[in-house]
Amino acid sequence: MKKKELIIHLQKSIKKHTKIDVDESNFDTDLFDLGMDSIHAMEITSDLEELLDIIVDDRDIANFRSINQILEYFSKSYED
Amino acid sequence: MKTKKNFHDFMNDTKRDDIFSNLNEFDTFINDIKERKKYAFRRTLLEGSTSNVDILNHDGSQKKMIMMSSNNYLDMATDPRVVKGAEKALQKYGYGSGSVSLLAGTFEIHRTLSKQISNFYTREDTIIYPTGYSANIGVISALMKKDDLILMDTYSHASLIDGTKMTESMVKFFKHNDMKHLEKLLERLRSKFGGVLIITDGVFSMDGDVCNLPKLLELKKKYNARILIDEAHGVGVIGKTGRGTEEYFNKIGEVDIISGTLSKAPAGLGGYITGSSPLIEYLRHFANSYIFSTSLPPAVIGGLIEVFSIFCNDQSRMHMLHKNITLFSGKLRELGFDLGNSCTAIVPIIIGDDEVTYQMSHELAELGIMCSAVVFPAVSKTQARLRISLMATHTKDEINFVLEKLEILGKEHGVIS
Repeated sequence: MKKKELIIHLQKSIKKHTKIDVDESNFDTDLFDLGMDSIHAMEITSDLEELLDIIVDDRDIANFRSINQILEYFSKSYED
Repeated sequence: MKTKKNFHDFMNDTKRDDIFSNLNEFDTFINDIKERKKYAFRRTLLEGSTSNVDILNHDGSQKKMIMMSSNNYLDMATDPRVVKGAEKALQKYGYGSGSVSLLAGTFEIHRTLSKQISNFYTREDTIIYPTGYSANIGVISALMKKDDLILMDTYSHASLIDGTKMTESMVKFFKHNDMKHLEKLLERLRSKFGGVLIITDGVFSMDGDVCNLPKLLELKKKYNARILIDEAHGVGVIGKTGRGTEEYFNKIGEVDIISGTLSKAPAGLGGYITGSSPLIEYLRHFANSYIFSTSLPPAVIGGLIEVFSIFCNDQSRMHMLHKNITLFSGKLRELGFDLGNSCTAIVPIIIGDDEVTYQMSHELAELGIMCSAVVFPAVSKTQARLRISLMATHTKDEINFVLEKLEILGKEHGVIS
């Protein structure tokens, strides 16, 4: 999967669970400042797990501080 | 550099060349809160912890306060029977045990307490740890291996989560008390892992609700998993005779691993795991938090032996607590406060705004009521709350006084209409 494709899926998942629209201008914003909480992070991660057919250790979600950090975490699953 | 506004901002600072780099900034942050008189932690108790306590505040003032912040649910901490039991053990055995349990730190009274707890839960054996925290990290780290899977409720206590950090198992959280989500995870993942452990609190420490034990047991059997219930806030206070979540749901003997603390309703110190003899014997030899910790002091054990004797023979305090819960929570709900699904002595009054929560907690303290403000990141941003812990010995007058003040402040701050 291309990175751009993953970003679109990620944006859709964020909108679905949080009603928040995100774009590259806020990819470095702290997730909590964007209005997300740990449950949102878990739900979004679950969507990506299903999409990419991988299993994420939920303890890693605590390290997701921004959308760029989420993308970095899943970087093995996409091409640039 | 972004100015740090709350505790959450101090977590996960990774780029640094000195492990102390955060300390001065945090010190400034905390001192600012204290100077603005918003620091609500570590007030000093000037006497034994009971329902009404003399407190020294940070500004130097001293005040008698109604204690709504303690885990001493049955007011056992200063109970004369328990104190006498502690004194007797202190006289006979001295003030410290002097060794770890496996070597020279197991006294006959440790074995007596272990047997009492086993009988209390209708289990074969019990291991006693120095704290509830160490019991949880001990059992999880000793049992769980690399190819195993841990499924835990998102609201599980920090000690359970920290226990998972000491394993190489896969860890997945299921949404709080959401059995459909748990089953979805089991369906998807069960076949990919070896052993599976489902972990949950029995009574949840921030929300005062109870896990869905019947459904958890159904899922554990269906998917061949084990289950661990943390009874820290359930022991002595829920179930017909105070035997906790199993008894509450009439499922005695069905949980694989029960953990608990001896510091809440039992009002002492320590933690325990109770279960089958093979489980407990294994933990004695493989749980580092047990192996490498000195056993509990004899006086504490002496007091706890009295406590469990009272638990078995006299449930009057528990009934008093239940009456207070009905009175207090019932009235708060009538007034329009949101208490979530609380049905125990832990009563969260959900405010939803950190600043209002802090302010109400501060104003309650000025009125002589000590309760906790719980804000982000301990709970999510929209779930800031006052956390009230009821005690068996709160009088009707004290309960009504607190209700009256909560009503006034709730209306003033727009929490209720």
